[in-house]
Amino acid sequence: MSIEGRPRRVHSQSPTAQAWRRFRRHPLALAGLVLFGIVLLATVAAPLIGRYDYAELNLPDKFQSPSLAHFLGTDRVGRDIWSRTLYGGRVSLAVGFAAASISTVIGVILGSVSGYYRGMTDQIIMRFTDVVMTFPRVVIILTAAIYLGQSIASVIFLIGIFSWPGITRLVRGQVLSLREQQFVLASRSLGSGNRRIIVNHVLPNVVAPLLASVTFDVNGAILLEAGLSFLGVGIPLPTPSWGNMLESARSLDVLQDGPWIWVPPAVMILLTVLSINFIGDGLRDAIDPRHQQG
Amino acid sequence: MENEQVLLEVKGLRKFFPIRKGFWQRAVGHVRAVDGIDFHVYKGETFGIVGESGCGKTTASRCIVRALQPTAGEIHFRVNDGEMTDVANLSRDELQPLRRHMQMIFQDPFSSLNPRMTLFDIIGEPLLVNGVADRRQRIERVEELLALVGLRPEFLQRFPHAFSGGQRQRIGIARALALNPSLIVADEPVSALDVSVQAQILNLLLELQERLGLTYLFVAHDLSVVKHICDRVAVMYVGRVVETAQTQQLFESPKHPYTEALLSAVPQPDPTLRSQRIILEGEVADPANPPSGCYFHPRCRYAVDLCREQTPELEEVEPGHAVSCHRALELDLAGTLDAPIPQTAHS
Repeated sequence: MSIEGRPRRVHSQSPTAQAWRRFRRHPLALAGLVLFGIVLLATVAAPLIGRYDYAELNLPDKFQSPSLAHFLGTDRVGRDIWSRTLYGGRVSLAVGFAAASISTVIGVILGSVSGYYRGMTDQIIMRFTDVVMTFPRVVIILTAAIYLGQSIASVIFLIGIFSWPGITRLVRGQVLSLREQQFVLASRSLGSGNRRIIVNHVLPNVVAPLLASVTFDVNGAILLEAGLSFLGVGIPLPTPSWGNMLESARSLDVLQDGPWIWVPPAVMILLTVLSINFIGDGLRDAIDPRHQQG
Repeated sequence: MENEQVLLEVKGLRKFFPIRKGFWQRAVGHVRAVDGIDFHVYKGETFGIVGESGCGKTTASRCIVRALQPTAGEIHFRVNDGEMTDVANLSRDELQPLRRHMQMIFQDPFSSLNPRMTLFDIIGEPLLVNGVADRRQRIERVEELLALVGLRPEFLQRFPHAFSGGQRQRIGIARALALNPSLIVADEPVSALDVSVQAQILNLLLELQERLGLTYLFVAHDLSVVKHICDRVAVMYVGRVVETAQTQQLFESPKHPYTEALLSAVPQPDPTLRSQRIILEGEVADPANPPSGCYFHPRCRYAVDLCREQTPELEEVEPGHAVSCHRALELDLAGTLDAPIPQTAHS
């Protein structure tokens, strides 16, 4: 603390800059960020380092174990696993981020309306949220996927529209407490309208806690996609995703005799989810130092 | 109070909060937070509202700046020495041009500043909302305001977290002054601060009052602060004004038993004075379910049958001194011996 009237620096760090500084000092978060960066880079660079077309059948070379020609071997129709793992990452990550974006948009809108206007509006939105939370997501998506048809877009859409309740509740809680802050009252007594108060005073203060929660939502979406694809209702072949690559392990001979087919996507899911989790933890600690556990 | 012109007149102000229950959020009752209060504030003076927590003083002050919509009553406010306008019953759009004339200072220096905004954004917001669109102009004005409240103009791009409680309160004051208001409603502006910092902020307020000709409506629970800064005082109890008088009058010869009890609770700095502390029995009445008659009677040691049956009106007992007590004239109540403002030693 500086002495009244005599601070150390004339420019202070914005809360965002402070959070970033704390994040950088968080070893696990930094490790997560680096790991995730590598995964992301590899999938982005897939056309450069993939060497094979992910969908190209090559029956003479089917079911080969790793070799120089095929780093990670080939699957039962001779497609290159290395290339499919890279391209599959694109799909899995895209699904994760796109679905989380959809649920975030829905969650922020419903949550802030609910928390800001309270009363009947809040009651209706929150009861609706409760109902959606009780849905067995996987079962409903399985059913809905049949009607929508299997495609990347429908998987993203379905995961997105069933994953928002958590975000809604978080945002509602934040908004409920923020709207009672005196700076909101101050702004209102200046004559600011609801729009100005929500945009300038409420939402900027929601972003920080939201960010951490959204990263966990990305994970949720990646895992859900993997689960759906594993069950055969996710991403349709020949497009690879980590989930539908795992699906091949449902047959016993692949599971027992072709570990090179299912281990790479499994490891990639593990690494990605783990790194995003670390980033999320780091963000949470950076944003709210009181949470820090050590 | 050179010209004794009334700047603000509050008549029969009421604010009830519905108590909502159940799925349909039906109102099952009301908290009568402010239950019909009247007072007026002269231009250039500091008018204090005191009372325990929960007596409705904050609610009343928020109604006056229309941060809350009053349930009933009139709030007449004089704009630019002109006609009085009833701001309680204006629509939002009609009110907008008047808002700049009355501004608020808040109690909590932490929650009253948005942590994600720089001082420029915080202090400049009133300007922006009220149509000062030119950024250069706003920067100039904000720098001027910072200097006025005793902060360095270079702090423009800093965030509130870099400041101490007292400095933050100065920032809040600068924001309130941005639009050159004539009335400042200060809701316990120093009660969250250390005593030494309290004095600095109070002195700043007094200095600004002199320089800018401000009128203060000063809400407080700390009587020594009130004594220091207020010209006249209204004492509130459970949503009503029970006594109003010149500060000196009120401290020397209170006419309401509640005021007497409040005064007896003020710590005396002089150890030779034996203070007789009046300990109030029981709890503050529940504003959702107030007692019959005088709201204070269950805790009043002078209460008689009449007090239980009839609600007393606020009546003037001497010029400028109004009390709502059936026995105001017969009781001889104790004030504090050391008079406020320039003090001569009593023994």
